[in-house]
Amino acid sequence: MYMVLLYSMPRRKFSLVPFFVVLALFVAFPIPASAGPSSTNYELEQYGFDSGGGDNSTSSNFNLFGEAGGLELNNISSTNYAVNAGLTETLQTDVPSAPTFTNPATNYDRLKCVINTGDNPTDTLYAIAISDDDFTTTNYVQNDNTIGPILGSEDWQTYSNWGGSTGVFIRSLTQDTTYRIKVKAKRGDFTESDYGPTASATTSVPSMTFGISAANLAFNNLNSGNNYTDDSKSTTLTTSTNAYNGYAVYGRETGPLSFASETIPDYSSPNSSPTVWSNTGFGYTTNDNSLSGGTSDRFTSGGPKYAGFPTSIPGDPVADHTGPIEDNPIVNEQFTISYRVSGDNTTKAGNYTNTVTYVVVPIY
Amino acid sequence: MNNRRFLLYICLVWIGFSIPISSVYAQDSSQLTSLLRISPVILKLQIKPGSKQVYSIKVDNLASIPVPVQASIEGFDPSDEDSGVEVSSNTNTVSPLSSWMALDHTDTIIPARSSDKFFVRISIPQTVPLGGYYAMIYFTPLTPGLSIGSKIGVITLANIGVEDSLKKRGDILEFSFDKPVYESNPVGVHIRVKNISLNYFTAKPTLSITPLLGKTQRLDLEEKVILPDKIRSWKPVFTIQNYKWGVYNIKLSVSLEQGLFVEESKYIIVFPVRQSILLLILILLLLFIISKRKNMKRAILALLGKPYPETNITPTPQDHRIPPSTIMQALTSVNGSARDAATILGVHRSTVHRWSRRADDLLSDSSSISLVRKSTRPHKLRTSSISAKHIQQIVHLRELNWPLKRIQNNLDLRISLRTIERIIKKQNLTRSYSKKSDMRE
Repeated sequence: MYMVLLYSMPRRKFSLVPFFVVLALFVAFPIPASAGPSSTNYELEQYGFDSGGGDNSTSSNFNLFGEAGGLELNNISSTNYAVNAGLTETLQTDVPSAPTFTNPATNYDRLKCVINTGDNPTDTLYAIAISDDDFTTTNYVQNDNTIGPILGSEDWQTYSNWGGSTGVFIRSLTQDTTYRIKVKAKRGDFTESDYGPTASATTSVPSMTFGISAANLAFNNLNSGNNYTDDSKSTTLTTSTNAYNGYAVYGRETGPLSFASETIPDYSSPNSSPTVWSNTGFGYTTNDNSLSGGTSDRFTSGGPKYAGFPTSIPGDPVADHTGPIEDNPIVNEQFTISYRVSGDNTTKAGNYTNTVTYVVVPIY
Repeated sequence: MNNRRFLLYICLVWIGFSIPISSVYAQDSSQLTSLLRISPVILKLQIKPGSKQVYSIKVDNLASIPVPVQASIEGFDPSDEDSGVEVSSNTNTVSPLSSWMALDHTDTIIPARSSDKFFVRISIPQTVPLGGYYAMIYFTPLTPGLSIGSKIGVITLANIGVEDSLKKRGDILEFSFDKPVYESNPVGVHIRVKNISLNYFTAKPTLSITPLLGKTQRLDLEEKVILPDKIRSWKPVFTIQNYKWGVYNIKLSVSLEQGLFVEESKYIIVFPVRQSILLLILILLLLFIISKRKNMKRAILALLGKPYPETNITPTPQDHRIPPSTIMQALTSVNGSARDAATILGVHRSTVHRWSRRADDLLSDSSSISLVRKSTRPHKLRTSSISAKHIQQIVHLRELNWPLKRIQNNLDLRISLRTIERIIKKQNLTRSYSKKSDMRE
């Protein structure tokens, strides 16, 4: 009926007839809307997940027309209605299983942590929570492996940055304390997993054991038979410690070897530049070939080289072991301090004595 | 004198008489005396002002004899940048912490293979300034007839109050290298970090060595505690992996605990001077050999007793263009060596090669009859388009002050005005015009 009416209209230069013909065709034969899931009782005509990408999926049992995989952009709302955020379809990371948490060398301020990645890929980031009160108070392992109250984005690190299979020492911990840690993972925004199970370890107490081989020693008589010299006496220093930075032993004396008002002077070379023995005096040498306070092998290279004891506090370094000591504590490490004394035929006869003190302190 | 001290003296006398003389003067290094174990040997404390706390220190006597032990609290000077400990009685540098500490007892006798506990009471005044404090507790085994003594120090570090954890804590005072340019490994670094905060903290430097091209090498240094207003130093010596020439960026990153860092970067140059000089000498030697190769060849042939290829063909200096036949004769005389022929003739060897290629088949029979240099005469010579007669006519008409256009029309010549003008200019017949100022006059 419309078509008859249209053809009866007068012709113009720019005819609207084709437009109305197309319009009429649309009205007469409307394009069917795409069908959604339906059953005998219902049909879901409009559906979607507010998604960016679209795809169809079929099998012998179902047929899905839909879109999936995008991110929610904005919430639609007005005075009367609101469409809030729907589902966010992302790939969740696996919850990491309990990390390996140990105290490998009676460490007192650090514990070793090795993350268990589970099935997560290599680009997965992990964060470590730590607590000494069963997570009543939670701290987080920072990117410098110390602990802090805030978990920053820089504290999420990959498995390799957390030391890989070797792991890392979580440091600056309190001694003699049990810590629990747990790990969570993420691969991107909205993919963060929950924390995995916890693991615990206990820090040790820093200790030091120190002993000397003899509380007293006596040189042989000094006379022309031995050219007024004796260098056969020594003291062995034995040290054990788990102090991270090791230890240092300082030696000093109460004064030069003396008898009444007579003295045998101290050997003139200082600890910083010992020399091969010459002339008279009382001195010492050490077999520590990596000694602090100067060239490390100054006593042993081209030696033995000797120096005189100082009387001032704290004394001079005679033995040490510097850190870091993480995986193996120092156990019964021995250094030998050898003494030498030389008089001459002008030294007055007598029983010359003094006291040598060795002070051992941990390096912190 | 209290009972404890009296007991100590009795025990000392007993020990002195009970131990055989031979053991007093024992020289056997394996026999240890006064073997004590102290734990903890480092006390790190966090204390509030006005609070009182008690800590215990356990002393184990591991020796097979009873050992009298004396305990004392002293200060120490933490000025030493390397070890951090410099035992000192200088009260100017000693922290007041030692005056706030007290031991429950200072003397004891610990039976063989037994232990004792010392309790340290710390009472912090209410009005004490916040910050880090330090002290040393010494345990001294007392042995009879003492001539070799020992002391074991327990370091006590106490942070009193809590500082803002996000505040900058330290500064890198020095980050330098032992040399500006490295010829070879190893590389020595000197690092000094100062604590500018109130509390002590543990600093851990890390060095990242990055070449312009290649992987970054990471070097972790040991941690050190830095007391307030004190400096600690590191002097690591490291080896650059895959040591190559070039510029290396060395980045120092010092962790100051709780994720705080201070960083600084520097560059070093790796340039093996000796190897470079050796390489330069080799290059110069090679260039010298190349430049003097002819003389050397002559010398080598002379040494071998062989004559150097000579010819009686000597090009005259006036001959800028040597005849091809001469080139081919020279080539034949030196057994086809274009280089030698070129040397003899004083031309470039490419000239010899070019004529050799042209000769090609003729070279075998030394004939160069067909070798003819192509004429270099120009195919066309430019000639004048106007005759002398016409030039005379132009000059004549110009002398009559005819303008150029009129001359051109009158003579009916097929030449341009520019040509006529050029002829007139040559005859110096161009008009001279007066200046406007002259015309006004």
